[in-house]
Amino acid sequence: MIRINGEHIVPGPRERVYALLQDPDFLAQAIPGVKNLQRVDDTTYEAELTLGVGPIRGTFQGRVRLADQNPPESFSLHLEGQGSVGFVKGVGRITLEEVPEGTRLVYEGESEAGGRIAQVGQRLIQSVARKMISDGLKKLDEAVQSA
Amino acid sequence: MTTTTRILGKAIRRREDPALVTGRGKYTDDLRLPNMVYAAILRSPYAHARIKSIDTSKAKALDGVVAVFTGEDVAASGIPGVVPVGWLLPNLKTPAHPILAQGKVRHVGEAVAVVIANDRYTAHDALELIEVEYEPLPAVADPYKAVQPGAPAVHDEAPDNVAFDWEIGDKAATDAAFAQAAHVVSLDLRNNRLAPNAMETRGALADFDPANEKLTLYMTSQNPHIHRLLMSLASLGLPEHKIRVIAPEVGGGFGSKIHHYPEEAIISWASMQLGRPVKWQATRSEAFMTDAHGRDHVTHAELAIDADGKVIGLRVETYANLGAYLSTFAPAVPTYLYGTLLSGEYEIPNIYAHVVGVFTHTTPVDAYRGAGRPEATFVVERLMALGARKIGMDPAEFRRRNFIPPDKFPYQTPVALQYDSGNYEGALKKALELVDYENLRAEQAKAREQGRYIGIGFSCYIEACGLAPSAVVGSLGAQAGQWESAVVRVHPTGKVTVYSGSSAHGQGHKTTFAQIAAEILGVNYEDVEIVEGDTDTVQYGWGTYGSRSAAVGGSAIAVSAQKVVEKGKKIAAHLLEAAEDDIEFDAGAYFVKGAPDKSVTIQDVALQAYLAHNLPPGIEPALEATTFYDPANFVYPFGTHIAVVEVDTDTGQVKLLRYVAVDDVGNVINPMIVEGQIHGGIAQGVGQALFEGVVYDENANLLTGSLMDYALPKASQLPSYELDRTVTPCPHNPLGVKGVGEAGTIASTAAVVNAVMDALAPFGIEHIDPPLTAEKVWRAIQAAQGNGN
Repeated sequence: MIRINGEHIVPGPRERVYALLQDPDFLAQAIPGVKNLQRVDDTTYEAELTLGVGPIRGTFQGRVRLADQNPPESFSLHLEGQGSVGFVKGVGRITLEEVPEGTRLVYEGESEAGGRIAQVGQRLIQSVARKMISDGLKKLDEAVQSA
Repeated sequence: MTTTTRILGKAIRRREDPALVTGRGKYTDDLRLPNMVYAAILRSPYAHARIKSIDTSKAKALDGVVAVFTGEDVAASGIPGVVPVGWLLPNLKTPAHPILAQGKVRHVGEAVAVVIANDRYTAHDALELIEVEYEPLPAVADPYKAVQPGAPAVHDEAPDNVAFDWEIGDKAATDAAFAQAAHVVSLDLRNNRLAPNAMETRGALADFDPANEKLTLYMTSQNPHIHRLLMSLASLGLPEHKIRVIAPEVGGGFGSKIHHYPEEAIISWASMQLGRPVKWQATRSEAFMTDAHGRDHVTHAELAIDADGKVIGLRVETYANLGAYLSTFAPAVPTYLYGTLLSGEYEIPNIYAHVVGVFTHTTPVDAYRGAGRPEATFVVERLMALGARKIGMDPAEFRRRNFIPPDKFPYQTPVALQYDSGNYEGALKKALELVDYENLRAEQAKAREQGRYIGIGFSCYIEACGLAPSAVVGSLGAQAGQWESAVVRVHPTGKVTVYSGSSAHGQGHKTTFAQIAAEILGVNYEDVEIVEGDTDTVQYGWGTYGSRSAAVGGSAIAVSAQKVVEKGKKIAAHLLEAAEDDIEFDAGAYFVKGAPDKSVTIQDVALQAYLAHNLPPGIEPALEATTFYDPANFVYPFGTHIAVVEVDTDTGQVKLLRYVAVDDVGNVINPMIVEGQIHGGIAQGVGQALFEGVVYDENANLLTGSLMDYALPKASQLPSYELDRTVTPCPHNPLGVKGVGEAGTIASTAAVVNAVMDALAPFGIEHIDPPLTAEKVWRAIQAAQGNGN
């Protein structure tokens, strides 16, 4: 079980941040390695994700589901993916709070990985996940500012 | 004998090494056959899941892919398609172990499909195009948790996950001994799970010839005839005479290449389907997931001691993890190779052991260097250390007081074995001298005053190896004979070829076996060739494991060579026109007693034996002999190992300062090879004590799947060993030899852990489960100091 949490200040209004985080087009370009993000229904997307952890690189077929939506304050994300190098599943909870500088985004999540990605990359998964989150947040900052 | 050409006992260099160290050794993966294709195996990422569907169409469509097969294809072909269990216990549950999963997967790494392609890269690429829909199911990795109510069952046939429930010894008498004990020490331990990590991963190259319906299989085997037998009887169902198994150079085994795994059957079957050679070589990650692991016991053990410091009882309860399926000899390891060794070197009147063999959703567990004996030694030697501490006696003195004395051999233990010979105090005494024990204890005390924590750990181990005779192992459940064969063939020119049923994987048989034959025949060592590892060349054999090569295989060679000498004596008597009784043989020459100048050499005799123009009446031409040697008993190597460590209490880091080993392996054929075996063995045992451990998470995902996450010992972490030996010859085999291959591993884990616990004694720390990583040791120190964590 891998646990990740943190917070970040997004320089923009909370409604805008919340909307971006629900927008498949934004998510597709913000999450590193995502290809073909397809909407299944209002809260579910299917995606293909290419992920590299240490020496392991592979493609996952995944499903992302939004739940507990409480706009513009919070939602959770359920993630499930399976591919040739193993599987990942996890849940993340995101809360947004208005602050003078913009929006404070607080995230916490836990995930489980199995297969080769767990055997070989165990120590690296956390840092890969942190890097993906920080890249994604950078994209979020840019998107908020460019709007 | 008064021979002048003694070669037995000489430290001659291994004739194997020039080829091996210059990269000229031919391993399975070095072999290339015309029209050969390559296999890659799709493995389950889940510890436990139902396979809802497998779609191989995209993989089959990839350019360069020849075929993709699943478990359904195997079933449809009508072969038995399961790997068997080679050791049966009463009421043993033996659920089927299909060579390719059917319906369910039960451990991470279980084979689900196989791709055959024109090259191995395409085969591996195609694995990614196979779409498997899994329905994940709950899984369990820990043997103790697996037997608790409500744990997910691995097999429907064993809903409580119990494969067997086994006991040995006298429970009532042992309980009575505990009731009257002056002192009782108890210990809860986890014997950590290990991954074998032979330098060469497992591989197979199968070549089925449809013209004569014969399968030739080159593979990484410690016992080609056993592999042939099991493939014929169980997995493939091919007639035995239509299978030839060849073990080329084999780069280490440590037990992991004894067992019949699904892969060699899958590759052979694929070759039969395609009518062309198919090769598979495991990646290192596949090795971590599929090579049978070792150890993995959860144990509660207690020692009863009387007021005089004599041990009067030993009680052990063990939950042995067997993994998801029963590997070839898995049922034997935690029972007859463990419970029967719990007497150690000690005269313990009452012993009782109860062992539960448990299925879990993990890689199968089977024999790994030492196989059961390191686990037993760990229990006994940890308890002896704790017992000495409890009654305030020096640990060496406590052991000495409890040794079986030399005049009590043969000694019958309360747990089945009859030790043939031993002088345990002799080895301990020598080890104490070597380590300069009194001064060392004084140094330890002085260091402690300076805040340095040095520890001294003992392991007085015994090993039972060269398992035999066949009737005895059969009565205990072995579905195998335990004799060994040897043909000694003297050619017309006097050169010699020896065919042995052993099958080396690094031990140096070509050197030591040639020493045996050369010594007895009185020929030059260079004139003896050793042939092993090919079922079409060697009549039969049971292979190399359990330190049986010298004691059983070597003895077979000695007996055959002696038979050759005896036949030669008849021919020599005829040539010398003397009575056979008057002929003596020494250093390769036959001569008439008292007249050594009138002689014929064994080479002369050999030539005449083949020309056959002038043989005594009734003597068949040619000069060779065959032996099927079934020993009278096991052999019992023993010794004392002493480890000296220093623990950095700020970081928890353990440094191994010195390592002294005095082993008694009986007569020694080649001291250099014996030392090499001890060196490697100690390194493996130290690995278990300080570094190695297979880790599964709570869902039975394997977390240590590479050498980044699984720490093998490195040369820089080990001291120069200080070795010596005593020699108590084995009384029942012609060479007086015992076994050495596993001794170092059996002894060293307990020695090192005892040393660390001795160093930590001032903190009141009694036990930490290995591996004693810096973090674990540091946490234990912090907890002992009341710092939480």
